[in-house]
Amino acid sequence: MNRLPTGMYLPGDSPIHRLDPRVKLLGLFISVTAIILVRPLIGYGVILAFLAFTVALSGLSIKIALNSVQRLSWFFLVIFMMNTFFYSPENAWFSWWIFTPSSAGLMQGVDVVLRVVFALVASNVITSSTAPMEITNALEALISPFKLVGIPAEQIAMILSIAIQFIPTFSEETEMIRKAQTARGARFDSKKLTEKAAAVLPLVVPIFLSAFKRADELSIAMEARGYRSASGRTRKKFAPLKVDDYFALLIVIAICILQILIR
Amino acid sequence: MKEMSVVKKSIITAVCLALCVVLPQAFHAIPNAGSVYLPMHIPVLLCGLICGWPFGLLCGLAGPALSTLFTGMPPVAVLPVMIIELAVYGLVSGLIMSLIRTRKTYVDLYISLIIAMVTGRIVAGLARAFIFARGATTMATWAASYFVTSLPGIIIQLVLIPTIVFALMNARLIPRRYPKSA
Amino acid sequence: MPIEIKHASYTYFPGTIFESLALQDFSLQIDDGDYVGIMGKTGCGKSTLIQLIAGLMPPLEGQIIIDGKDINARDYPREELRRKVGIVFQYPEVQLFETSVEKDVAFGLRHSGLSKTTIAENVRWAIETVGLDFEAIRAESPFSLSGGEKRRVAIAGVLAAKPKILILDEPIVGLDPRGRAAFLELTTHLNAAGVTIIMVSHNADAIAENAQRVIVLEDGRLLINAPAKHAFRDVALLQEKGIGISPAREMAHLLSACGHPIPQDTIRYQELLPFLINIGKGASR
Ligand SMILES: Nc1ncnc2c1ncn2[C@@H]1O[C@H](COP(=O)(O)OP(=O)(O)O)[C@@H](O)[C@H]1O
Ligand SMILES: [Mg+2]
Repeated sequence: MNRLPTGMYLPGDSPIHRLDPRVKLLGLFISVTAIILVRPLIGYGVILAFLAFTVALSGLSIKIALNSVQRLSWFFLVIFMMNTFFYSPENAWFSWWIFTPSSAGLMQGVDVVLRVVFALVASNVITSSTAPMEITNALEALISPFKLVGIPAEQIAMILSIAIQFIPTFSEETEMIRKAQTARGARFDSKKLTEKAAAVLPLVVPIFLSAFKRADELSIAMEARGYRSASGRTRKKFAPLKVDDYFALLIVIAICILQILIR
Repeated sequence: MKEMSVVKKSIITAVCLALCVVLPQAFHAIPNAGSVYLPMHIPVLLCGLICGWPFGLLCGLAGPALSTLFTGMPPVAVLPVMIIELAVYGLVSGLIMSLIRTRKTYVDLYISLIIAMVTGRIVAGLARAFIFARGATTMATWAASYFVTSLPGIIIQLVLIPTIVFALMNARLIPRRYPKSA
Repeated sequence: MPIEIKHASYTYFPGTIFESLALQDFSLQIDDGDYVGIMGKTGCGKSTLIQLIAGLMPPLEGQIIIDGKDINARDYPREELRRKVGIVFQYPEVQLFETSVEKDVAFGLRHSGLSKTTIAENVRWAIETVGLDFEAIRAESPFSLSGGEKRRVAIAGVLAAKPKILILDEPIVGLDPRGRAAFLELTTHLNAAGVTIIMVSHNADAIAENAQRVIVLEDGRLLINAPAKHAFRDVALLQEKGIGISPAREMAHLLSACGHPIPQDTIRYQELLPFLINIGKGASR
């Protein structure tokens, strides 16, 4: 397995790659809102143009931008069929057993699939052009205002950053456990439902035990050093936003407002 | 369980979050494992049971997102529903666990688990229906199909999770819920 | 019949940015009943090599042949391989998972097709062989044991299948000197009973004192493959490559540089001792 999983990240030097990760994350959030809000046909056109522009600017291939669309095609088909056949008995072409296919349902199916694909493309661009670590740092920065409403943002940020540091270690350990049990003759798959759980115990129990052992050691070490809460932790400092960053934010906000106005 | 410090609970939550990313990868080698074992549910439910609802909720909210970020799975399209489902697991398992005390650890565990898993699946079924389908019949069909197809996963998790909890207690990595009993 | 590694190569994540070449056109033969020590700097491919031998992953090129059969051939019986080759990883205690010591040790025999009584005998033998009291410990939860006992139980879980070939990856890391001595004695004891031992270790002393043959790897290739006595001959080369030398060998090297006639195949304390006594006598005269 992997040392440090990096998901879909593809390093590069496009204007999109260079945007501040906070702006990218916020921009993704606003674009998805716009995609949910879209109503008239021209609205879809605007979103499509915006996405095409972003993909072109990012230098990522169409294949990357449409990543997992193909993998999810059966899923889209199900969404489409369900909507077509079950949407509403009114104005149905015909009615047979529980099926009531209608043109309204058909349109609905196309609509839902289209929105999901749009949202998928938007997030593919962001996750492919930003390192996971950067996204997490950005997330940390973006949730910090929530402190004001009583959500312990700093503690959450601490938990997230400890979690990320554990990922490669656990990944290696898990692989080691899998190999050790395989060498002892373990078979992790079983046909019978009742035996399925027992079959993975040799894998799952050691993974949790060694992970919790690390949690135990770390918490003892932190408490011994008088660590009580997350305050005083140094957060990653971001460089100030550049012109490009403001410009990008302006565009997505404008598109989102436009979608509201033309509804 | 005897109170653990906030620091310890925070770190256990971090560890469970990391396992939300790592565990599904570990199950890759097993055919069809993802849909049968639902590996990401295990750390979230455990986190709720062991650390309480605020931590369980955080684990459920952040676990799937972290996994998508680091491994590309689950795909973004199914992420929102998954986040809702797992958040309910973490939240409800922690809540019920703090509400009931039958003096038998495994009974507490089973009750909390079953309620959490059923609630989570109902909510997730509704959320899916809401996002991917409009119209009353469509929604009902979605919700029902989701609940039925995920039943085998429930049975498997009912075996796995208490076993892990007892192993952790035996290894003295988490405190026992009741002094010296089942 | 021996283990034959023929032109084996292995690369992790071929074709990605994580690509890392671990083993390159590697050939080696290990005879039955041998005690082989494997050394080399971190990242030189030792763990990869032994995992290929244990059949945990197939080489990208080349073959691993055990008892005349290619272990990665499609019709090769995996179960047989699992029983023939045992592997103890670093910190083997993480593999414990059962509710009792007895069950955990018996785990590897579950699919073996052996009779219940044979399994019970093997389990008892394995637990006693690692120096534990079978009756006292059989029903304990493995998680409630001490660190040293856990490791012994884990090793018993590998021995229970009575492997003909026992592979050990850094087995003595984290043990105290007594635990080390006891463990190394166990390996020589098994070796004397006919088990082929392949031990990876950074500890040159442990290797020099126990192994009959020493293999040194460098960047995924074979650097040295010689009887233990000769493997440590070229001290300058080993030092230049950053490979450890047993203290006895180092002492012999230094003494001979000072003009004392000591054979350069001296690698163990026992062999060094008579010379030290002689030198001591000379000095006191
Ligand atoms: N799971 C892995 N994923 C990627 N690379 C690995 C993995 N394991 C080992 N490597 C790489 O393969 C090479 C050989 O590693 P290894 O066989 O573990 O060496 P050793 O045991 O001698 O330290 C190293 O460069 C190491 O970085
Ligand atoms: Mg190694």
